[in-house]
Amino acid sequence: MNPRDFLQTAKDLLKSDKPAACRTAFNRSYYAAYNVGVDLLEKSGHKVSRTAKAHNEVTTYLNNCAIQELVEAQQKLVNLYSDRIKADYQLWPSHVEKINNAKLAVKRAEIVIQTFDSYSSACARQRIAKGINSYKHKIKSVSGTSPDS
Amino acid sequence: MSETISDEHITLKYFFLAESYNYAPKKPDRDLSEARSLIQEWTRIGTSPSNLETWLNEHKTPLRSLQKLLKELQPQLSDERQVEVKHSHEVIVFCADHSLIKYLGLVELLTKKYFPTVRKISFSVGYDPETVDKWVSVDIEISGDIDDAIEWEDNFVKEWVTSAAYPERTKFTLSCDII
Repeated sequence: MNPRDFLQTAKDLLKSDKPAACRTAFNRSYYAAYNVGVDLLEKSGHKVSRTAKAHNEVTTYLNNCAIQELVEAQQKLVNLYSDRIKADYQLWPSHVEKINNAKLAVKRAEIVIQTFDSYSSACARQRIAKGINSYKHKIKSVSGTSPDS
Repeated sequence: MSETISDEHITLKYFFLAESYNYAPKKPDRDLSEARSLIQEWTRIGTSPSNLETWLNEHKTPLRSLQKLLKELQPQLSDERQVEVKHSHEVIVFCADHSLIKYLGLVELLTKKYFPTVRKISFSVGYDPETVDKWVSVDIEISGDIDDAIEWEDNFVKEWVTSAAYPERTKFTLSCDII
């Protein structure tokens, strides 16, 4: 499925301002952006694991791809991630139950996805691959192990 | 971790806020050079709570003079707006353990710089039960609309990723509460 569909689900949920709808919109917004990021990295030749550590791999790769816009998008993704954890696990009343904040999360995810999409051409993916390969090479030369090993 | 966290630990945040003043337009430079040299001395011996205690014990006089200095600096460091800043003790311990103390000051400074309507900044430790990862959650209360918040966050993130080192910067997350 297309991860962007999660974003539409988040928007549909926000036709209601109920706390559960707002919290779930945070969750879907994060996973929409996260999965588009995973797709971009994998199409650039960098496999992301299918375990909980994948979140950290996405952070590591995007932070070290040597493309400033993607580094910024990654920091926004980290912000979405933190809100998603609050929305899913911290069930006391908080900002993740407010519709305006949930709409902000949806908008933020849209912007992150737009940024990822702007690097989806073959040429841009080559730049990403080159940046991450250079990072992996540096790590390997210092520690003897690859960051994804 | 057995160390107790005193007001002095909290005060240390302001040492770093003072150092972070490089990022702001105003520079109270004469006094800051003294503060900076003391910060450098502390960071030279490490930044864990245990050697912080040692440092504080060994430098009673400089600490007192630094506290006096900080008191004098407070009006300059304080924003004209009334912004409430809250830290849990847990977050100070977490930051000391992970060499993140100086970034508390930077986050506070950049938040005040880029979110003109910020009323409250709360620092706490975020925790993911799935990965057991921890980070510093920076929760801010702002007034404004969604587009304002997006623009302010965008400007904040631009400076944050160029000012804070990797991987430390990924240990801070920003949450906006539009009120």
